[in-house]
Amino acid sequence: MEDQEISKKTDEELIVLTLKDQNCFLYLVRRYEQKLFRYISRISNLDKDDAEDVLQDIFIKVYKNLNGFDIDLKFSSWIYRITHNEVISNYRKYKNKVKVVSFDKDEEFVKGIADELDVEENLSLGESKEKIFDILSKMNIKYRDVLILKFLEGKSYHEISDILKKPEGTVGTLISRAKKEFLKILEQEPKKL
Amino acid sequence: MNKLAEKIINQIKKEEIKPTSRWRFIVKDSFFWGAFVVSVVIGGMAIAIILNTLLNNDWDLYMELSGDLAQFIVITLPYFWLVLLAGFIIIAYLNIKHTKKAYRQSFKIIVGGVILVSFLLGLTFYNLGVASYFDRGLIQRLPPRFHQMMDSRLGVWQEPEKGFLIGEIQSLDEEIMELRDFEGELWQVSLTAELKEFLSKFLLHSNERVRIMGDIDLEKCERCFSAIIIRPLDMRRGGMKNQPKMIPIGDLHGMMKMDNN
Repeated sequence: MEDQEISKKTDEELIVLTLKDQNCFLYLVRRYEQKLFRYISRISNLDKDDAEDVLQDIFIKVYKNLNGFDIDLKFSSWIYRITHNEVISNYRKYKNKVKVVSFDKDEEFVKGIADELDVEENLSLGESKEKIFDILSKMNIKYRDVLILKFLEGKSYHEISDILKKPEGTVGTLISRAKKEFLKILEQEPKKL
Repeated sequence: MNKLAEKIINQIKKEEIKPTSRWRFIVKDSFFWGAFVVSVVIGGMAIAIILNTLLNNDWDLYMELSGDLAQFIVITLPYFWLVLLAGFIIIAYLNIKHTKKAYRQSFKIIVGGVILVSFLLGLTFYNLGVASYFDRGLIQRLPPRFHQMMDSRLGVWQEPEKGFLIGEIQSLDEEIMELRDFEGELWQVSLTAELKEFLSKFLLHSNERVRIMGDIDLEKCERCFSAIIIRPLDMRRGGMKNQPKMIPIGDLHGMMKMDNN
């Protein structure tokens, strides 16, 4: 099969092909490696090398569990779920490795989260990016994770529910609490300056 | 091929990693569903036995049995089955939580659903008379020291000196019933004329477990007992429609007062 032809296949079709020919897994890896790498970096603050090691383990886990993929789910939700579980369950281990806190400064995310949290008035345009990422890095990982999934990864409540394996109502509560924690840290910030 | 994708494919090939068999996932999912169903059925059985105990409790005799309604409730509540029910609701919840889609439902909906299904099952088991047979079968297989734990009523009725006797009918003729109490003692229970008439409609049979209210008749023998009320402990086979009506014999409270005097 031509490279271009395979690339046009849906995720679910690629799973079927991968189960017949392991080389087809390459296309799934290519499709998700950047997204998942970004997601891992954002929730765990790991540096590039460590994030890549984690990502490699995640793809191996995905490959091993391909037969367990639930066709009622979106593949992207399923692979994000595996990534989320891997990062959260090893967070303590990863946390010790974190040397530099870094987020890629995604404009849309900054705008999205600033709009949503109505913090633009509190922050000047220049400082908003830095401040938002600084606050995110200080947040509890479960709140940071849900904000990243919602505003950076652009996932719907339904998708976040599938990724975190929590009811949609609980996702709503988590996002609401995450916003409160964000605003609480924001309020405390100026006092330190 | 980029570096990471290449590393992953090489690792898969080098370590000969294979996707886990579909059957393992099916077996795992089936295990959790199976364990959930078993937990709900056991929970249903516990509810049936709780209903059996509560609905067939001697509410009309609480004054004689304990002297106080609150105390009567405390001493006759089926604690073992209530704890077992709570345990199996938790087990059912934990099992269903491990199935593929359960996370979409809230804790309240899952636990509420488990309780509702268990209750409906329990009601069905109770109406079919299964609970009583299950309870009895279980008690017969357990050493006597566990009997009271399984059925709190047994302790209340195993007080011959206070006029309460409980046991299994060994033989029954027109005058005397032979009864073995749950401590293994054999009793000669004499029946009043009213009781005999009642029992003729009632068709008590050997091996039936009964509770008897009356008095020790020391004039006759050490293990002789005069019965005023006899009630079966277990439900009859065939469900509620086959259960005999519980008819108090004579002016019970009057008789008890006379006895006390």
